Amino acid sequence: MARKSKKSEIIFIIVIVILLTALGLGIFSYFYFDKKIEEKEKNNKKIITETQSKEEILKSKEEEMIILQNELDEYNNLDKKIEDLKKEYYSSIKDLEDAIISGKSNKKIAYLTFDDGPYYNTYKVLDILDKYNVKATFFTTSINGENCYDKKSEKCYPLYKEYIKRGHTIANHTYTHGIWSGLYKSVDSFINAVSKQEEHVKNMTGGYITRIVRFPGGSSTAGKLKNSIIEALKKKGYGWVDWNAQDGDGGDLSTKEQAWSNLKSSINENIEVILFHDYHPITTEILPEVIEYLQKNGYILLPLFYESNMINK
Amino acid sequence: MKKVFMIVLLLTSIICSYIGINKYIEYNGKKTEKNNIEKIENEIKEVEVKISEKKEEVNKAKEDNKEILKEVEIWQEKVKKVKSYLS
Repeated sequence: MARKSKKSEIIFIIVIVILLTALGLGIFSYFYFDKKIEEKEKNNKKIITETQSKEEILKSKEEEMIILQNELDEYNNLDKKIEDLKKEYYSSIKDLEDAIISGKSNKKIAYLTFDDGPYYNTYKVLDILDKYNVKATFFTTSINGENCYDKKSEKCYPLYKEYIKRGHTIANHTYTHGIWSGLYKSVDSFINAVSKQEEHVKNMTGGYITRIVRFPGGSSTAGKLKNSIIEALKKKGYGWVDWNAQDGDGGDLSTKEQAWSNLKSSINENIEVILFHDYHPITTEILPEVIEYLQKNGYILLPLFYESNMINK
Repeated sequence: MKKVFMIVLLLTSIICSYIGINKYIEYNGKKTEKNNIEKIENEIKEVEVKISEKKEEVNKAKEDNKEILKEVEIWQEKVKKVKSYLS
């Protein structure tokens, strides 16, 4: 009996120990793994935050790469950029013309045009235009050949590149300017002279294309052939322009006063196409004052362009 | 009395064990975030090297195109001027 009682005591103690151990382990596990969970969550949060930060850095670096690549592409496409800017420039001038013509703008434009060059004197004209940062249009012809008509010891062909270098428009005044030597004999003789001058300009400049023509002597000089020539020019993609103001240097001009009188009496439109000749000493002499006069009277001085409303197409 | 004590102890130890085991299961079930930081840092270093090379290319292109860039500036100024007449 006593042995049985001792046995059950031992079993009882063992069970108590087991139960207490289980209880202890349960409590320990709870707090231990709770802490472990907290640590894990903290670690995860840290990893997530750091990863996000690094990913943001990586993203900004990749964006920097894209910007640099775009910059590099731009440098590799600068010729196209210049062409686009030129289009935008002339398109904006056309918009200005439209606004002036429709009365929406009170601005005024004057297109300075110089016929019959290049001459040696053209360098002087170019220097004056540079001084005022004014761009003009030069209606060129090859009547004088390679040597400058006004200084035979000098070559005038380099002036074609000079026109472009200084930002002016080169236009077509026919190869021969042969008013009295068959230019207006037929439509073909005129068109051939235009084509030859275009080829000449291309050769002199490395590819510049002239699309604006001025009839030597003005379009009325073509007489009965005028309309046919105009049709032929249109078919070849040329536009043409006369003038609506001048200082008279294409005729008998002997004094500055005469030049000023001719000029002031002919300037009365909001868009002027002014005729000059770049060989004429009086024109060259009064040119600075002409520019100042026009600008003082609100004229914006610009070079002609094919899309201009002043070019007949 | 002994029996009551035993029952209470049994119940308590069952509950505690259950709670403990649950916590363990919860711990094991918690996802450990994959540490890609080193991988991303290596990618950053690679991109930085590429950026450095690209910057050199850009500087060279800028140098080689100095004259054309001046022309671009001139035309940009011209456009700006004409547009100012329109406003």
